[in-house]
Amino acid sequence: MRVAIVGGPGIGKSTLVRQLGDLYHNGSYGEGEKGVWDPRVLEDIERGRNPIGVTAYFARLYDANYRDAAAHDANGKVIFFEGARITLEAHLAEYAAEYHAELRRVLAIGDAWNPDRVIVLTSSTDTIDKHIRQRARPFENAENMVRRFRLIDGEFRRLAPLYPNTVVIDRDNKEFHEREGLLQIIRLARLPQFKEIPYEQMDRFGG
Amino acid sequence: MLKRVFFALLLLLNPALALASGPDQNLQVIPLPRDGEVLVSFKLDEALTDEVRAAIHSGLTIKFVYKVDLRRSSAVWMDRTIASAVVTATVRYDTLTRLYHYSRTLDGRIEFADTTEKEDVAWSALTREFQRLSLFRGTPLEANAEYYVRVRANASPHSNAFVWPWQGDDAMGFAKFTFVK
Repeated sequence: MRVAIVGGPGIGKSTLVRQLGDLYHNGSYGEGEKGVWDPRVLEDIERGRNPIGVTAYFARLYDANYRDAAAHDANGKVIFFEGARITLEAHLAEYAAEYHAELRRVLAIGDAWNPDRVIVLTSSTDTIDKHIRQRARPFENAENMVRRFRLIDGEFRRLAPLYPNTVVIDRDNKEFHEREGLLQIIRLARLPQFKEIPYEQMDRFGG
Repeated sequence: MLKRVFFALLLLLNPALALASGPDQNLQVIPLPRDGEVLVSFKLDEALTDEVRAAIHSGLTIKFVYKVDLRRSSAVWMDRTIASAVVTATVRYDTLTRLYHYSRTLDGRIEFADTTEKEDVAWSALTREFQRLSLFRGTPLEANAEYYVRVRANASPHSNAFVWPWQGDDAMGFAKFTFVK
């Protein structure tokens, strides 16, 4: 089973993908950040340049993840991804209409991914503002990120009903570093139960 | 008649007491004190009837509204409401796509929205999928004090054309708990 986690910038996608991947032990694929991405991509995102190149870059990055996962997906496995086709489409709103026709051609890269479940994370702007300031990535301007979040979050909410197997979840009051927060996401997204690693009181360990 | 008036008065003055002597609840409530707050689970224990199925399949938006009160029992006078929350579960059947669109709001704010082909999942979303809801975060609770959570449900559209699973206007459930810090 392939589960994609998507949402606007600063919503907590990377944290949730990592935490759920660690909980299920079947693997997870983040989209990366500075250090992983070509440095020119960050600069172009901040300045709103090269929309087709930026979108194609992330489409290829996601495609590499989905292709790799296909090689070891199996019954009973739950593999998590950051990003899906809806992500590429939601980000179209950031760019001028003149680019949209070409950007839609890029979207076709994601036609074959078809995750079994897509979780769209949404949140109040206050929460986003707090997260962005907390993570304090040097290349991110908080005001600009919040503005981008509002725009992209609106697009995710609009597009979600058009994509199959997609659930929109408000992440406010759900802490991804607490078990209860992860359980809430698992319940709301109707994901299969994970296998708990047993923890026992032990004086000796032997067969 | 006298018995009904007496029961209504009893309910008004002390619902927890009325619960102890009242009929079986079709709305089951489970409060769980944890990490300084109380998480609330509840479910309306009713099967999907043909009348309700028809109402859903008509394409109308069906809404179940659960009013959840956190209350403090009083031995001598009326119980006190400490905090309240409104949980609304909504299902709309799209007759073209044959998909059920369902969602839940907490105090008017959408907590999640999803779609399903399965009728039982949609019905569950209206009646049963209320687990460990954090409705009263930040409400100060007194250590070792007795509280109870009361949940009242009603449905819309509300007319004689539709027969809801419960009798009368509201289904109701309670559960007591002691807040241990």
